[in-house]
Amino acid sequence: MALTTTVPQLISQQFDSEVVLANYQNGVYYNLDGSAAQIWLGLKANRTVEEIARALADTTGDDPASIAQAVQAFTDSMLAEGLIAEGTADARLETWAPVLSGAFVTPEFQRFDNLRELLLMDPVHDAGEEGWPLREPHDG
Amino acid sequence: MTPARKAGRCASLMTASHRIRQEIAAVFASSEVPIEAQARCGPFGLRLGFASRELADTFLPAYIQSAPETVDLDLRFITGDHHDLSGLVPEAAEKPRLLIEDGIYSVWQPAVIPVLFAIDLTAKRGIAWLPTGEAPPWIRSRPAISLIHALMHETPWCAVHGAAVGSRAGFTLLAGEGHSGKTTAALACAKAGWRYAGDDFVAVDSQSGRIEPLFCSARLRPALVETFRNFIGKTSAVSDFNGEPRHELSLADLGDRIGGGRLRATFIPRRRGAVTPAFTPARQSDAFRALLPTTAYELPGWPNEIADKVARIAGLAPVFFADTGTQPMEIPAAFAHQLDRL
Repeated sequence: MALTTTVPQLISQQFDSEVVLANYQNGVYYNLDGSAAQIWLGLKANRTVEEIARALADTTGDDPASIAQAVQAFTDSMLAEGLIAEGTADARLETWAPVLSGAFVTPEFQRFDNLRELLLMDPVHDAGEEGWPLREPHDG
Repeated sequence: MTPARKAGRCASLMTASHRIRQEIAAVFASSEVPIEAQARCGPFGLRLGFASRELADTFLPAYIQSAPETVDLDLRFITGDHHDLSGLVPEAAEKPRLLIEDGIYSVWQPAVIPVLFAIDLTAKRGIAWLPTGEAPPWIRSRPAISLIHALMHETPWCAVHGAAVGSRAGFTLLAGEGHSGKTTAALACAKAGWRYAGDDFVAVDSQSGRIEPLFCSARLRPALVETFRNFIGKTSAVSDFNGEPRHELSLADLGDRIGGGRLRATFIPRRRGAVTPAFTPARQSDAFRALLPTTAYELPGWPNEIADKVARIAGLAPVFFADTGTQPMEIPAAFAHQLDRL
């Protein structure tokens, strides 16, 4: 099954070498920087985990086997967190290369859920896009 | 089959958007509107109609009343006593709902006090229906903002969660979650003679950086009343939702000082123990994280469009964390100094 970065209810924005992901239903935010952002961007460019690991090894000159292991583990953690999903892969970008300086650092995401309780207290935002099921009219 | 039953059957075959469009038209066709007003709200001109004096007293103080050149939205505030729109309430009425279909945008917010907002974007007519006649406190300072959000769809404008104030050096957008000090900073600047565009939600053009006020309201925590006593005049009613009491203020008396201007910097207020206001450079992504959550949560629909606009707004001007210090009245001079340095 292919992996996709297009996940319902997840907003993504890239700022230079940083990626911010926001689950707008539950109020949890994530920050990806460094190798973490590059892995997410590689998936968005429709590269496989193996292709991303190889590209990161080429860029940093670090040990390919340990990078492959770290990329796979991080991909699994993003999948578990709902930051990527199994499904139809994103459109493949013809050119993609990781932008990373220095040695490979084990990827991780920062998770911000400090707004969650505050937002969940507020009933205004909860309207879901589940349609508008009309009631059956009363016969009177 | 009785005519009523036949009509009911026909109604059940209609789409929800068709039914909502019909009911909006019926509201505008059927009744006199005892209280009318005109207002500007961000880049839009509004014609407002209130079905009762009580409704006008509740909502009109938040609006910037003026005669706009064009009317972009005809908006009626009605209650269950004036119109029975219960047929529009969706099944499983305890759940909030959003409908975007065929030029109709509608939000059902049941919560503790239910409200239905709906707009026919083609006819430029909207309704705020309060079934019980009561208005939830959290919508008094920003009435029907979700309908303004719908009007902004496919325009560069975005209603963003933040405060904004401006001096001759330009406007600053104050971004951050609740309790971060946005209202304190905005009111301190307004008291010092700055232009005021809002303390909660403001309209920002994500292409040009133009800021416009949506409302002339402010929501002040009781602990700050003494600080601004001379400025706000008599103490207003306090709303209390989930243990968060707020004075719902109208700053309409500021007159021409309720206004907008060009974004010069985004400040992210925070309290980190500085005695006097201090600034630290921040990133575009920090502004994005500060602006997006409440913006996306409180404005149902088109979340990715909101995120794109907010990301652009976050990149329009330099971003700083602003530790606002312990003396609110020192904030305006510090803000002015920081803006002048840019």
